[in-house]
Amino acid sequence: MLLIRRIEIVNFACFDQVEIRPSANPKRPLTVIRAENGSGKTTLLRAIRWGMYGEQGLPGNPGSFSLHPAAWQPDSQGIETRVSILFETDGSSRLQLEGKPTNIEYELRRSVTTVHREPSAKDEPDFRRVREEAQLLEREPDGSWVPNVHGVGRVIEELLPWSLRDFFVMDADEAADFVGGSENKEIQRHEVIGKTSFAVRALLGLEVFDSTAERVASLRRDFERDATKATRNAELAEKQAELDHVRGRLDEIEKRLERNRHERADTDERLAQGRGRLEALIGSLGAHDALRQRLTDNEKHTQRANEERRSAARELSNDLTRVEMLASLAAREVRHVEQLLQPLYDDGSIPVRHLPFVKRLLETGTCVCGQDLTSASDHANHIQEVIDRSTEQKDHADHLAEVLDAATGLGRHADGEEWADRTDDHAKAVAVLDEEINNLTQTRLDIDSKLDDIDDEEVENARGRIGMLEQSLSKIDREITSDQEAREQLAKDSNKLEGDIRAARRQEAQARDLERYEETAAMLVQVLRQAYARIQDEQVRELDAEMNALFGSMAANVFDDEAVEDNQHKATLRMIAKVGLRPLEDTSAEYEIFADNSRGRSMPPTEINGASRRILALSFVLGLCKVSRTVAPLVADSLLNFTSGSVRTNTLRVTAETASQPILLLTGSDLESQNEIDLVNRYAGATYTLTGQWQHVDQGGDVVRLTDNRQVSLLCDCGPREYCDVCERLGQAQDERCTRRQESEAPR
Amino acid sequence: MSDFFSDLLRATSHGLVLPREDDDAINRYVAMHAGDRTNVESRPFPRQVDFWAFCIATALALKLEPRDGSISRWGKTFIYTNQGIVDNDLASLLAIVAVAKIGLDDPGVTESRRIVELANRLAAAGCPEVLRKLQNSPLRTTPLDQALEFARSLQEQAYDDS
Ligand SMILES: [Zn+2]
Ligand SMILES: [Zn+2]
Repeated sequence: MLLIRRIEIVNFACFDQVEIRPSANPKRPLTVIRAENGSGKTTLLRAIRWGMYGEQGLPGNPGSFSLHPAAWQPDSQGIETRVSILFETDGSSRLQLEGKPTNIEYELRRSVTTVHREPSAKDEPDFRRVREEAQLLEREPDGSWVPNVHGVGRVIEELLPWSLRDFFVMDADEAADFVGGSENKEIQRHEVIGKTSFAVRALLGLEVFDSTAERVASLRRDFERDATKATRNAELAEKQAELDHVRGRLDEIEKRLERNRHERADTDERLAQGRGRLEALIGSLGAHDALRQRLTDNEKHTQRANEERRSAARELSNDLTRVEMLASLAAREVRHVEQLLQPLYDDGSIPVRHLPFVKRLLETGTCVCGQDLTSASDHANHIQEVIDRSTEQKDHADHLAEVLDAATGLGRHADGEEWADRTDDHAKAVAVLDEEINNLTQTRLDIDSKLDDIDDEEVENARGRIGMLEQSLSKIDREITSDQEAREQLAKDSNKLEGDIRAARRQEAQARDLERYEETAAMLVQVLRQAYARIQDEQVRELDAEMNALFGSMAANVFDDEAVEDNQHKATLRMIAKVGLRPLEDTSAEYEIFADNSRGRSMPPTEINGASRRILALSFVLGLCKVSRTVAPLVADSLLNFTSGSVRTNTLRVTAETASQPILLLTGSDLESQNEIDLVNRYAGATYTLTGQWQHVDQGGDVVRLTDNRQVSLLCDCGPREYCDVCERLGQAQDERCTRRQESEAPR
Repeated sequence: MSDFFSDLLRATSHGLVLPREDDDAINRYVAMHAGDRTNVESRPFPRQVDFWAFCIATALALKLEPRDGSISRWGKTFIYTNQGIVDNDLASLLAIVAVAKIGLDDPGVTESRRIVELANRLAAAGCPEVLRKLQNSPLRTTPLDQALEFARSLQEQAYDDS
C-alpha cells in the first residue's frame, strides 16, 4: 500500500509554491485537478516525476530542462527548487520495508539549486544546477523525522520502480505504449511485449519467483562444481570443464533464440499488416473487373432509359395536339352544334337525301302520284325546280351533315377524361424513367469512386513488401529451428555429462555432502518453477478476465458516433468484442495485450483507433493494479482525451471506482457534461483548479483576475463548477451552474 | 371524313396566321423544324399549327371574343404542312366552331375562307393567354408540363360550363 498525503512544489518552473493534499478517503478516493491545456498541467506532472525519480523523470537531455522559475534571472546566489512528497505505506508493499507491520510515513524531499554560469558555447544555457539532493525521511513513533537507512534510490526503486512509472504517474498518451503506442507514435512490437511483460511480472510478483529460481539454479551449479573439485579427480575436472563449455553454448543459444523470437514477433506483425493491406487491395482488384462490367451495363441501361424517356416525352408532347383534348375545350360549341343540326338531320334537310329519288322519277317519267312527267307540265316543272334547288343546296347541306357527324363523334370526348387518363399514364412513364435514370446516375458515380480507390501500383508494392517479409521470416524460422535442435542436443550432452560426473563423483565420500546440497537445490528449483507456472497461469487468467471486464464497463453503451476521431479505417470501441492478456507462444514469461473483434480475429494496434487504445491501456493498468492488489496513487494526465459521451463518463467512473488513489488532471471540456460533474461530486475527496496567469490575456482575458506575476500558475481549491478570485473566467459569474467560493483564500 | 374537310386547311394554307407581335415568343415553344423532337419539354408544340389549334381551344374554353380588326394588320402567316388524319379532325372541329359561332342563317358558315378567318381570330384571342401561361412556368416545371396542366384546367372549366 502506498498513499500520497501531500505534494509540495516550490520554485519549479511556473510554480512558485503549490501544495496538493490528495484525498485519502477510501469512500471518496478521487482527487480532481481542473486544468486547461497550457495552464501548467504537464509541468505539474513533471514536478511530481522529478520528485520521485530526479533527472531521470525529466524529458530531454540531462540538465537541459529548466527547473527554475521562468521569471528568475540567473544570479550567483541561485534559487532553490524543491519538491516534497509525503506518503504512507503499511509495510506490506512489494518490498516488505523493514517488515514493519504498522503504517509508516515517509517524506521524499528532492531539491536542487540553479545558479548562473557563463556559457562557454553559444547554445549552452546560462545556468547550471548545483547541490542536487534527495532525502528520504521516516517518521518515528515519537513524531520526529529521521533519514531512512536504505537511502532514496533503493526504496523508491522498490516502492515506485521507474519501469512502472506509468502505473503511478501516468500520461495517458505514454501509457498507450502498452498497446503499441499512441496514435502518433508507433513502437516495435517486441518493445511493447517487453514493457508489458515487465509490468505483469513485477506487479504480480512473478519476477520474485523467477529470480529466486534463477538464484537457486546457479547455487546448484556452484555446489556441483565444488563437489567435482572436492573429488580432485582430473578426469572429472575435465568433464566439468566440458560441461561448463556446453552450458555456455546453451546460454548463447538461449539468448539468440530470445532475440529471434522478438524479431519473429515484429516481423509477424509487419507481415500481418502487409497481408491485411494486400487483402484489402486485392479484394478491391477482384471487384475491379466486376465494377468495370457494372459500369458497361450501367452505360447501356442509361442509354436505353434515356431513349425510352425521350419517346415517352414525345408521347406527352403529342397529347397536346390531340383533337379529343381540343374538342373537350370546345365542349360548349360541340354540344350547341349537335343540338342545332340534329333536327335538320331528322327532318331530312341535311344531307339532301331525296335528290337521287326525285331524279329517278324524271328518268322513269312517272311521279309517285301517278302523273306523267315525260311532257312539259306544271308538275314536271315543279319536280325540276325541286331538283335544281336541292342540287344548289347540296354542298351546303352535305357540309352541315358532315359537321353534325363530326360533332356527334367529338361530343363523346367532351368530358376529356379519356385524354386526361392517357396523359396521366404518359406522365407517369416519364416520371418512372426519370427515377430510373437518377438511380443509374447515382450508381455510376458510386462505381466511379470505387474504381478511383483502387491503386494498382500500391498492390505491387504491397506484394513486394510481403515477399521480403516472408523471406526474412523463413530465415528466422530456420535459425530458430536449428537453434532449438542444437539446444536439444546440448541439453542432452549436458545431461549426459552431469550424469557421468555424478556417477564418478559417487565414488568419492567427500563430495557427498555437497551433492546432497545440490540435489536439494535441484528439487527447489523444480518446486519453484512449478509454483511459478501455476501462479502465473492463475494470475494472468485473472488479469485477463479483469481487463476484459474493465474494458467492457468503459465501453458500455457506446455508439460509434461518440468517437471524436473521424477515422474510418480504424476499429472503434464497438468493434472490439474481447480484450485481455495472453502469453506469447513458446515462451512462458512474455505477455501481450490483445483485442479481438467479434469474429475472433485479433486486431493489431495499428487497426485500433486512439480512444480504444487509450481505454485498452487503462484497462490493463487498472486491471493489473487490482489483480496484484497494488494500492498506489495514479496521477493521470489526458486520461479522457479522444473520448466523449458515455465512454468519457464510463472511463471516469471506472477509474474512480477501481484505482486506489486516482489523482486526475482534467480539462474544462472533460468536465462539461452533468454526468462527469455527478461523478466528481460523488467520488472526489479533494478538488483543485490550476490557473495559468498568462493564459488568454491577449485575447480579451479569459482569466478575469490576474496577479502581478503573470508567469506563474496558481492553484486554488475550486471544484469543477466553482470559481474564486484566482481562477475566475469570463462568463462564470453569469453562469448559474457556477458558484463563487466565498472565502477567498490566499492562492497557494 | 370527306375530302371537304381534308382539303380545308390545305386549301387555305396561306391563310393561317398568328399575331405578328407574338411571333418570337411563339417560336420559342415550337419545334425548330419538322421532325425535330429532341427538345419536346421546352418546345412542346411540334408545329405552329398545333400551337395555333391550342390557342383556338383556349379562346373557346375561356369564352374569349375573336380578335377583331383587319387580320392583315396584326397577322403573320405561318407555313403549314399537312400531317394527315389528325388535321382532318382539326378541320372538322373548326367547321363545328364556325357553325356554333356564325350560325346557320349566314350561308358563309360553310365557306373555307370564313371558317379559317374565324379560327385565326380565335387563335389570336387565345394566344396571349397561352403565352402568359408558358412564360410563367414555376421553377423545375417545363413548358410541356405547364401546357398540359393548363389544358387540364381549361378542360374542367369548359366541361363545368357546358
Ligand atoms: Zn307527283
Ligand atoms: Zn478558484
